[in-house]
Amino acid sequence: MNKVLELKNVDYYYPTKASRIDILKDASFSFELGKLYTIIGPSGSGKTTTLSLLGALDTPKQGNILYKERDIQEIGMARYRKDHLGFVFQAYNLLNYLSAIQNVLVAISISGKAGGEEKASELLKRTGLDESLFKRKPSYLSGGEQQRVAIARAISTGADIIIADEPTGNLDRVTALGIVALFDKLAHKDGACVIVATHSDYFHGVSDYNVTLDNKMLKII
Amino acid sequence: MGIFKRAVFSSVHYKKRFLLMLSILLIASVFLQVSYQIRAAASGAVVQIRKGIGASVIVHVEGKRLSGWDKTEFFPYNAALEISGLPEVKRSSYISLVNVLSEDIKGEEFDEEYHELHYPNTGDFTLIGISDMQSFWNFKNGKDHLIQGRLLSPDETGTAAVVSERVINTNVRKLDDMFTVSSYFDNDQSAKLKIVGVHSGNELNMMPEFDCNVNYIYTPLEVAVRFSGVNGITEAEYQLIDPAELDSFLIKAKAIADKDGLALEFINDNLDFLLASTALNSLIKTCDAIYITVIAMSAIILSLLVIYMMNDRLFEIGVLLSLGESRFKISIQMILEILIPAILAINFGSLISSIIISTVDKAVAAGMHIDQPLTSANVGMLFLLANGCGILLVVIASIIPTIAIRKYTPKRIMQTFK
Repeated sequence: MNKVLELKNVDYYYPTKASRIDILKDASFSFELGKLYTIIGPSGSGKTTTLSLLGALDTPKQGNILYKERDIQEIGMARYRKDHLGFVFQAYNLLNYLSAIQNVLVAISISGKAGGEEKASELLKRTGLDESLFKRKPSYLSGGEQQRVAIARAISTGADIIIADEPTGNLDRVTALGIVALFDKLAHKDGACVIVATHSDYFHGVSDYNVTLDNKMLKII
Repeated sequence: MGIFKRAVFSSVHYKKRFLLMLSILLIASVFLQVSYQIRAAASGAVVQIRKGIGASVIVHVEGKRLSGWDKTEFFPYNAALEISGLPEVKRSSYISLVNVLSEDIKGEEFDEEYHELHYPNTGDFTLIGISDMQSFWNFKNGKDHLIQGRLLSPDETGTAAVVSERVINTNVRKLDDMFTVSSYFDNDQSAKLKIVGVHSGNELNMMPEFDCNVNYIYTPLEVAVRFSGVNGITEAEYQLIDPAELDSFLIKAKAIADKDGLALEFINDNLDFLLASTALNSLIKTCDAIYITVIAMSAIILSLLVIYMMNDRLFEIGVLLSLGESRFKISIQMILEILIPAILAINFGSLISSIIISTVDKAVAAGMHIDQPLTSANVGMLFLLANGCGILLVVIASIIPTIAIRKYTPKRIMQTFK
């Protein structure tokens, strides 16, 4: 078993005035390298919250999240995000004052890993982005092109975990399928652990495990 | 793509924000540098005025009126000389008033009933031993003036005398004539004086006869000192090199007086300096007030601008945090984005302020009738000041965003923008 990420007895809830809304309750699940996981469910089911916890954007109320048997809070949330994780957002979340290639360079620079413009170019090419678009700012790129840049940015640090929150949410079918193919390659060719939250069915053919939130716990369906 | 490059690209991209910050910082920079230069000019002018006008201190025995009649009016000439040796003193002059008698010549006596002078009196005269006749108050204020011959030279010794025109005429004397006077206090003291000059005398003096200007005989100081019987003088005046050293001088002079057991009164005369420098001192204080106000207002406006910017930048901060960037580096980037326009503003501000100040400099110098510029163009100091204030403003404006960034969680930001 090539376990890389694990939820262990995780509780998460949102407090309200009266009581609280439980999202996860004593949830345990593990993720392996070289696999593609899709977390499916309707809006509001807790997919984004789960991804936030896995992506160290938030901390569980109870329990631990382990990266290679080490609690990510022990590793350091920012360090874990910088060194081991690539996050792809539904809204791409590119820095609009930087060009496509510069957005990738930012991530490389933050990670402290070696690599300059050449590496960034190569990554963008891998995602299928045309070279003529490298120097364009995000506002001059289409949704699909921006998502490719976001994926290039996510993998630029050599992270072994890629988390994507609704990566095809704003895309047309053709573009969406292109993005799906990229994630497929990342998991099955490059050996990353890819976790995708989605309520669409584009990932059905490529996903190794479909996971859902059932009774506040993660279950494979 | 380091922090500095990100800051530069962000500044270039968000031109309006950049130009707004640049404008605020440029205005603040110009105000600060112009205020500094004006303050420096005013301070320079005060120093020049100080040394030009100077200040003086008059010393005499405490509680005594200068009559020449009372031995206790005198204080030792040696003590006066010791005080004149103090480093603060530029120049000193002395007066000794003694009453004398003459049998060779007669003066005028003052008739109180008819309010007029009559010749002859009993031969009473006031001998004014003086080291600087032209500075004596009667001559300075025009009450007395020279009619014939010459005035006594400063620090003249010997037995020369300047008598009044009235005495010359009524006694039928002329220049180079001799006459004898003797001291009231010491019967053995007498002197044969030679008339070298004739002063006008002023009949409007209503004092007793020995105090009428017509009965004044001016002689070199040493004659009167000898006649005092105690080797004393009545009054000393000390011109100081720098009025700012007045207090220092007074402390030392009083110490000399105390050492000799003398009860002396010290009267400051720095009114001219105070009048001349008051306006400039007010200008200096105004410039100081401008400094503080400009820094405070600029800091407030910049801080508000940065807070406003932070709301726009929230998304960007969230993205950077989600990429694993440290809060510290994000804060540094924000600070750099303020520092870049600050550095530009300081340099442009220096250029603009130097144009403004050269005009002001000429105006102040012309107003003070000084040929050379007052500001010494202390470029190094101005550079340090401008950059120091610029950095201070940047630091103040950065405090709030730095604190705010520490509280941001990337999840909350992502949720806000989702």
